[in-house]
This record gives sequence, C-alpha cells and structure tokens, in this order.
Amino acid sequence: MVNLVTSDNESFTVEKAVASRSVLIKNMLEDVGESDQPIPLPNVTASVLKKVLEYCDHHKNEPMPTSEDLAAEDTRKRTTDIGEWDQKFIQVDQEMLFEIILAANYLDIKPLLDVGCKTVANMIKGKTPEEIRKLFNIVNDFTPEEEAQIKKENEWAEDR
Amino acid sequence: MEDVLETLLRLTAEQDQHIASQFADLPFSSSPSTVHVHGNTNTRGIEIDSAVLDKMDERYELLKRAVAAFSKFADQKGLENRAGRNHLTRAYRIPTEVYIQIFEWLRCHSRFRIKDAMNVSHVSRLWRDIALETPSLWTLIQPIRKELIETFLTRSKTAPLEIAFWIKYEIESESFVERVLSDFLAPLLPHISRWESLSMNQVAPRFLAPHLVSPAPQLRALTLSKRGWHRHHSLDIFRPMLFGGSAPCLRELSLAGAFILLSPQNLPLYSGLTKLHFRHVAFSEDLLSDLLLTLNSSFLLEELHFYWKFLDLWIDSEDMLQISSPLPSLREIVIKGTVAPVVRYILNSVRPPSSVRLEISTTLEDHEDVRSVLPSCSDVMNTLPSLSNIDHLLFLGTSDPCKEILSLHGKVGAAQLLTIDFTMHPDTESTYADTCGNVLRSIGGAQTYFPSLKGLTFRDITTRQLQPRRLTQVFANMPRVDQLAFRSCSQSLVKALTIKISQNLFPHMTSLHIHRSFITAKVLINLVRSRANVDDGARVNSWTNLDLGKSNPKATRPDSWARLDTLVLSRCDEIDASAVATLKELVRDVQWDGSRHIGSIAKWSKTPSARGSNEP
Repeated sequence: MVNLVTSDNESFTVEKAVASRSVLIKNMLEDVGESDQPIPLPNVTASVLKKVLEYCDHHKNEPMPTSEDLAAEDTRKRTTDIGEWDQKFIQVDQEMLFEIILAANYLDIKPLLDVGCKTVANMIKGKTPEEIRKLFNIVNDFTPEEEAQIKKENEWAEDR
Repeated sequence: MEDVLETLLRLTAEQDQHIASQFADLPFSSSPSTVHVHGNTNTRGIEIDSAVLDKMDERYELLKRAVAAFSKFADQKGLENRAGRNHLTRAYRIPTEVYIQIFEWLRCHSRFRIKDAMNVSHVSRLWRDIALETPSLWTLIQPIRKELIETFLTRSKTAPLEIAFWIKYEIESESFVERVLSDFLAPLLPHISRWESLSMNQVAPRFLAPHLVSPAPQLRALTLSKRGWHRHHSLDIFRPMLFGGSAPCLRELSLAGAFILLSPQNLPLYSGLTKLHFRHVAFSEDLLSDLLLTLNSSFLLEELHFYWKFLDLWIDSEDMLQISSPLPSLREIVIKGTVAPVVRYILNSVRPPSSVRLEISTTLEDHEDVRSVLPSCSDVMNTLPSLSNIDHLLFLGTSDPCKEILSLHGKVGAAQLLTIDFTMHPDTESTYADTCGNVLRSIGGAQTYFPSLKGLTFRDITTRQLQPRRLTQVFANMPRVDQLAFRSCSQSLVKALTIKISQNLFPHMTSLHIHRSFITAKVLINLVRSRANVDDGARVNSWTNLDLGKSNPKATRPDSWARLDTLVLSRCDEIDASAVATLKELVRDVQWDGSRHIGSIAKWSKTPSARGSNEP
C-alpha cells in the first residue's frame, strides 16, 4: 500500500497498482524503494486526489502506455471519442475539470490528461470565440491592431 | 503616461484661469463658458481681444490632445486590466503545454473544420499565442481564400498537411473548375513534400494530373473522385505518371468514378496499400483482371472495397484468375452492387484468408444459387450451403431494383462475419416475392433450413410484397428464431407472421420489436395474448375492459411454445399509455418510447378505414 498526502494535509492509503498509474508516483516509489514514508503531493487537494484515485482504481488493470506506444501512435487515428465510463467520470463542474487536468498533468497520468483535454476540446468544438469566452469566463483582450487582423482573417474565411 | 496627462491638465487649467480673467470685465458674463463667441459677439457689438480667441483655440487643441492621450492611456490600461483579469480565471491556470494538447485534440475531432482553428485563435491574446504555436491546428487545407491558405501554410510550419478540395456548386463550366483548381493548388504545390492526405472531389483527371508530378514522400491517403459520376458514364483514367511514381508512404487509396492506370510507372502506388476502395468504377473485364493481378503483390492490403450502383459484367467461369498465393493481411472485403459472377471472380482471385470479414451485395439469376457468390477456395464455401451459422436474416421491402431485398448475417466457417445482401437485377421483370422466393430457394432449395437463425427482421415491407403464404415452409424451417423485428411494416404482416398460430410460425419467439407501425392496441394485445400465459384472471379482466370482443380460441399459446418476454415499441401511433399498461401485465419487459410519428395522425385520421393497416 502507498500513503499519499495532499496539499490540505489529508492522507490517502491506496494500492500500489492504483498509485502507480501516476508516472510521477511510480518513479518516486522506484527511487525510494520499499518504504512506509508518505508521499507528499503539494499540488493536489484532497477532493481532486479522491477523484483522480477513482479513475486510477477503475483503470488499474489496463496496460500502461509506454513511451514507444506514444511515439508510434498514429495521429490520424486519434479521436476525441471518450469511453462510456470515462465520460460519466468526467461529468464534473468546470472547476473540478480544470483541477483534474492540472492534477493529471502534475502526476503524469497521460490517459487521464487525455480524457480531460478531449473533454475541453469537445466543449470548444463548433463554438464561436464569443461563446468560448462566455464558457470559460474570458474577456477579449486584443489590441485594436490585433482586432483588425482577426477581422481580416474572418473576411478571408467568409469569402468563398 | 501619467506625467503627460498631468502636464496637459495643468496647462489647460492655467489657460482656463487666464481666459477667465480676460472675460471677467465683460458686462454680460463672468466666465468664458457663458460667452457666445460665435455669431453673437458681432451682433451685440462686443469687441473681443483676438488673443483671447487664440488662447481659446489653443486651449481647445490642448484639450483634444489631452482627451486623445487619455483615451490611449485608458485603452492601454483597459487591455492590461482585461489581460490581468483573464489570468485570474480557471481556464488560464492551464499551462501552455496542456493547452497545446487541447488544441491538438480539437484538431482530431471527427467534424473538425478550419473555422474551429480560427475560432480558438480569436478568443484572447493568450489563446491566440498558443494556437499560433500549435502547427497541427493549421494543417487542414480546404477551398478558402489564397491569403488564408498561405496563413495556414505558415502557421502549420513543417507539420504534415491534410488537403481536401471540392467544387461547391454542381453546375460549373470545366474552365471554371480548372481555374479554381489551379488557384487552389498553386500555393500548396511548393509544400508537396509534406502532403499527408489529398482528397480531390469532382475533379476530372485531365485537370488534376498535370499538377501531381512531383514526388509526395509523406502522402499516406489519396482520394480521387470524378465529378458527376453516373452508372452509364465511361471511366476517367489517370494515365500519366502521378507523383513521379514516388509516393512511398501511400497506404490508403480511394477512387470514385476514376482509376489510376496500371502502367509500370504507377504500379508502385498500389504496392504498399493497406486500404483500397473503389466506388462506381466502371471496370471492364480486362481492367478488373489487371487490377486483381496487380493486387497479387499487395502483401499489406487489409481492406478491399468495391461499390457500384450496379455493375453487370459477364465473366465466364472458365476465365477465372488463379492467383498464386492468398493475400496474407486481408481482413475485410466488401463487394456491393454487382452480379454474382463478378463477386465470385473477385473472391476467387484474391483468395481471402478464412478469417476475412465478407460483406457482399449481389443479384442472383434464376439459375444461380448462393454458391455462385462464394469463393470456392475458402471454407466459407463449404460451410455456407448448410446455413448452419447464419444467425440473422433481413427481408427488406423496396421499390428500387438496386436496393437490397434480403440480407444474411452470421459467422461462417472461420470468417468473423459474413453479410450477403441480395438485390433485384435492375432489368428483371420478377416481382419482389418472386425474387425473394428464388433467392431463398437458391440458398437451400425447397428444404431450405436455417438451423442457427436466431433473428428475423422485416423492414419497409407489406404483406402484398412479401406474400408470406408462399414462404410458410421456409419460415417453418427456422425453428430457433427467438427475435422478430418489424420496422415500418404493415399491421397485416405483423399479424400474418405472429398471430396465425395454425401456421406454427416462430414457436420460440421471446422478443418482439415493432418500430413505426400503425398496429392497433387491440391487435397488439391479441398478439401478445397469443404468445403469453393467460391464466391470470386479472389479466383477462384487463382485456375485457378493453372490449376485445370474443376470445379467439386459437390465440392461446400452446404449452410447447416459448413465452414472449420482451416487447419493444417505438413510434407506434396507435399505442397509448393505457394499452402499454395492459401489455405490461402480460409481458415481463415492455419498452415503449411513448412517441408518435409527427404528422401521421392527421394523415391517417382522414382515412379511418385505412387505420391499422397501411396495405394498398
């Protein structure tokens, strides 16, 4: 078993197979060897880690993607489709979605990061800039010169 | 900036004081703000020192500059404020490298459009900076303005390009097509070394071939389709050498109404293919045999598809090719819209491995049987005639001779899946029922027996079309059918195949699906009653309440029959919630979508006599 301590000082004891879905934790465990020392995760809060561990537990028996797999991946066959379980898992509010993405990036859990990124990509797909701004509470901060360039690009796109 | 503004404001204030002192002595006002300088002064005969006017002009200019400076300052501060505000949002906490991944996934979306790339680059400065540093986002090139194509080429840097061209309008002159194509390709040709996929739609080979002369070292997928193909059109052939004969990465080739000549220069294009798809390519026998001989060396070929609207090519069985060895990688063959000899010719030539997935759509002549379409070299041939592994049969009613009328599905031998669709010959004078009967007889003769058939689906078909009485013996030889599905079928057909117990049809039916039907509640409940246990007095009361009339002594499930267990109803206009409540008392699992076909009620209410049956 592995003991993980979150930024808000909560402890999680999980199976090694579950914790090792994180390449960061896996490497730490390999470096430290057999030890009862808790592993601090200063960038992850308890509520987010709980969610991340739920993902890791569900996928614990799946083969870990190797760097060779990732290198050989045919980008033309990549799809933004998300598996049924993962879809339900990632149905969270926007704050939690971004927290999961940040945690997956920090903990180096590529499949979870992919699920998060695909979800955001699917949210963006087909939306206008204004709709995207509204969705993510972003405001337009372009300079007038940049606005002029954007206007020109839009005119080129609408031309045909 | 603040200093400039301060100075300007101070100077303006000083000038205000100076002007005010000048006006202080005037009898009608104590401040310059109340002096009417323009027009009124002369008529009232007041003389104003010209220096005062100069000062006022100067003051006005100073104010203008102050306002402009302030406006610029405010804009700048506003931008900084908005940028700072954005950095406090959740979305901006995502690091750049993760944003790049999000944009790359966006690019992988099955319905990605170039507008999506532009939209993310128009959200904010940060998003634009990241989008412009994500080359893959800009790799889709479609018919857009030349300026935008050049922008995309710059932003995509060295990433492989996906190029798709089509003509927007159906009717355009050939010279227009030629000019538009040349304009489109001109900025792209210098980047041919990074073309990864090229899809050219509705373009005649003679326009395109002159452009495709340089090697395309990264090209993986090539789709060429001729404009306005038609069944009777002649074949457009790319005769010159394409890509200088060098596209070493080409794996997927899709040709529609066009063909790349099998000349020695172009043969290398075929050698490394994994997917080869033909649509509406009007092969001659010689061209087809040349192609199949060429494929003999396509060791990597995994998918081979032929689709025709209808290809009637007579090939003598004595002319069958004998290719030396089977294609080891082949896992899927689809042949649709031709006659049985062509199907068999192709299958015999490529000698598919036993694990291949076969999907065939063919016509059968009177003298042909199902063996006419299967390759004699595989175990499929040995297995199918007994039909021991066919698990699903579809009857598809149609008025279009080129559409399928019967479809067999199942595992055959070692094949993963076999689908054979049967179509009517476009020139036949046979009726639907005749052709169905012929095909079924061809499958197994008068004793046609489907020992493994589990599912039977009827779609878009009426009793008059199918004439089920003529097929009673065939249906009787389907002893294991447990699922019946009717999609857009008449009520009388459903009744004929499920209620008429005397015909002993489908005694093991446990699941019934009815989609888009005008079947009435009365008929449906009667049907279910004939297939369910009716001993329960409460259930009998329910039917009595529905005024079903006299009980039909035949409509009682014999003991040896399976009990109907699942009933799925969708878009059945005549079924309402009360009928479903009754059905739920009779059948364990009733699924009802509660929907009606919009517009159908009005249509059918005009002809009440036709209700419950859409028979002609």
